[in-house]
Amino acid sequence: MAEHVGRAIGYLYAKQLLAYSISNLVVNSDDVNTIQTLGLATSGLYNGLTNNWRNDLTILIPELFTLLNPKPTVIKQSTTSEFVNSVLSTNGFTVSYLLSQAMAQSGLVIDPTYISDEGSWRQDFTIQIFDEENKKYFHFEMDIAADPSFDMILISKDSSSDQFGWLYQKDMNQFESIPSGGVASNYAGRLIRYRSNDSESLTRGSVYYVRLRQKDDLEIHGYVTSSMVVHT
Amino acid sequence: MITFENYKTLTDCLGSIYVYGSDCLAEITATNNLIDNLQEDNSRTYDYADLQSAINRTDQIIQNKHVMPSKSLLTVVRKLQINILNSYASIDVFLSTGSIKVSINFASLSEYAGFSISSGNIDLG
Repeated sequence: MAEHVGRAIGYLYAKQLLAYSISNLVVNSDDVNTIQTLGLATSGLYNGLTNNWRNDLTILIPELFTLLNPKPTVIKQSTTSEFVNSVLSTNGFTVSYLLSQAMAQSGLVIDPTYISDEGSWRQDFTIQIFDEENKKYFHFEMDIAADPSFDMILISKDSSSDQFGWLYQKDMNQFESIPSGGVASNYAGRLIRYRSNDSESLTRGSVYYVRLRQKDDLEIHGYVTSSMVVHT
Repeated sequence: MITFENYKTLTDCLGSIYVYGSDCLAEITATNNLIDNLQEDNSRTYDYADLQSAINRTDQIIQNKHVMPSKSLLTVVRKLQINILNSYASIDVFLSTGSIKVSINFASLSEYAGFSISSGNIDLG
């Protein structure tokens, strides 16, 4: 859930960054008329969006972390920074930088140890089934691009040649590395996950386009496309 | 007069600002769906009512502030289009002259602002 909320904040942050670039483009324009016509309106848009991402989820965030309390009581305990940090530590979890900033707005201060590395990202896909009759073993090819038409591919990964960073959902809350022989088709419906390494960091607040396709010994299936915002 | 290149950049950014509100809302909805799944898990005894209430209130905030185009966003779009209409007979003539296609997101936003764009000048790809 924290991942979804982190991405939600990521999109709000992305709006702020875009408004900033619009305002800059107008102010730095060579055309006086453009500056006069649009200057005030674009800076108004930027000011309106600045810090929205810190404020707009402050109702949700304390409730989200109250859920982690293992001993729900009739009298609800308020969520504290100490409690959240201890849960993150116990479970080996990290939260995104943008989420940690929005949490600070709710009075929850996250220890930097538990904040994800800047620019790191992960991508989940549901494993599809193509042939219910025969058991197969799937590998996955993924491209990350800066544009929706995939003309500017930044990262390409293939789990059949290198399994590093690739995980599959073995049980409900358990992810394991993809075996070199691939993921069996009886895991269809569960998630496949790619987790970036240090050299694959992307820009915080930027939106990237992702496509993934499954392949087995006999064929390569069609792409599934999505987009992601980097919120770490 | 704004350049064709700057117009294209501005409209792409404005279209993205518009659509990212919906993307944000989709993530909040996904959170809500996860709660639904947890509630079906009888082994968990938590009361999710407060969390769902918080999600629903957040959903409304995002809906009102980010999915619906804000007044300031529409103001920028209107001023941009009026700026073009000072020099061209219509937005479509300007787009055709510069061989520009605007994004579908911006076209939708522009429609909201009262300036419709013909489908031939929209990048539907």
